Amino acid sequence: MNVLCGIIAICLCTFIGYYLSGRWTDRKIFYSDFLSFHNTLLKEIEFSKKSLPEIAETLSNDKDFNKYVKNIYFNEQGKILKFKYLTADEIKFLEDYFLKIGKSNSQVENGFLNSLTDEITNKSTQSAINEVKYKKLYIKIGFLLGLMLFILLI
Amino acid sequence: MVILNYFKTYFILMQEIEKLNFLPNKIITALKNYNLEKIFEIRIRKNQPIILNYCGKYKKLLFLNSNVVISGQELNDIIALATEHSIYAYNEQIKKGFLTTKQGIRIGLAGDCVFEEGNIITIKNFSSINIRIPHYVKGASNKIFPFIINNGKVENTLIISPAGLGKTTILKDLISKIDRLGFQTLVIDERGELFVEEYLNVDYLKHCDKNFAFTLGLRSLSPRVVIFDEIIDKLDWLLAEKAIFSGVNIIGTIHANNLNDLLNKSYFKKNVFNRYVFIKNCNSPGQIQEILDGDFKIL
Repeated sequence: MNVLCGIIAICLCTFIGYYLSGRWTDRKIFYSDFLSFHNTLLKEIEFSKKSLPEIAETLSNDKDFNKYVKNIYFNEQGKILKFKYLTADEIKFLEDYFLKIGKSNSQVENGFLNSLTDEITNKSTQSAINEVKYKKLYIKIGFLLGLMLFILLI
Repeated sequence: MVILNYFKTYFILMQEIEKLNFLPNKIITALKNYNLEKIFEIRIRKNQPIILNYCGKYKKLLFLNSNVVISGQELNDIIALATEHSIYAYNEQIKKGFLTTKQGIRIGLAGDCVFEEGNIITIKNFSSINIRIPHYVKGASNKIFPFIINNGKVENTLIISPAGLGKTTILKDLISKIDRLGFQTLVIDERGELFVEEYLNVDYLKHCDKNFAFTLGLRSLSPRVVIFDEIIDKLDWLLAEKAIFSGVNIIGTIHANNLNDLLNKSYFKKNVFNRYVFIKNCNSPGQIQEILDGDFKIL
């Protein structure tokens, strides 16, 4: 019976570790979508000159970043969405980004967006690295906690 | 019947108001007390009372007997909404001193012009705007239509009036009528004002300059009739003339007060157009003063 409880504890703790690491996955997806939006915007400004709401309309509804963008352009109350996995600085960065885009002609916009490309790419890359790192760490910690409980139980 | 008409009018008013959704609520609320059908222009200047062109007369926009005034920030917000937060998408128009919203409302712009190497690159720090309220008046071209169609052919027609008297209103109605006759028509919609709806026989070249539209549009779209707004200079005239002499029928507009003004234009030539439609300055847009033939005889 104790062995069974111990095995359940290992599974449960590992799952909790996996569950808690979800925020790193969400961050990775968020920044990957942000980078993709940023690159799309650069192309649109250069060529088809689609407006920001037109670009936002093409985004799917199921991802956090897309919800964030759609909320800016289609929610009349204009309350900005906040996600728990983003730090205060990151939220500020996003707010500034969306406050500044669309305010000038295409040359100025291109200059501004190009100056941010490296930073957004770094954020996206870093969030992908962190996701791999912390996901493994959380799962390992969860597993180890479960193992400790298993040992204590038997 | 009266109730039905009331609801119909209310519905049309709401549709018109909806097109002005880039304006702040205080202007919208004030406008609801006016007959929108009679408003031709809304002139908004930073920190000044808003002026309406109401039936051709200028008066202040009032709400509860007070002037409605817009701050610089509110003016910027209007521009941001009218450009869908995307100045870059409208900058080619802004450089020409106007922008046309998605709903087809033309806004004239004033502010600081930014030049680079002698060319304007944008306008910034907007200080005033002039919103032209478009009116689609079904049947606006009824009076001139019989004079434009002759032996199953569209006559080359020039519609003449000073700004704001309804040339565009007549053109919009003509488009639908000419479509119904089955003529393959090209509409050169330089400022995005002529579009009402998609028609079976009509191609639109929107936000496209006349030079490109006449040269490539005629070649690639092979229209029988070309409709366009405002001959401004010699180049526009030459383009229209060239199209007419290559067998296409043209309906266009030009700014002039009367026949003398028209004849005094340096680029004007007789025997290019064979219908001249003069518009009257009166309370409702698009009222015809007279229609002349190619020899300037009243029809």
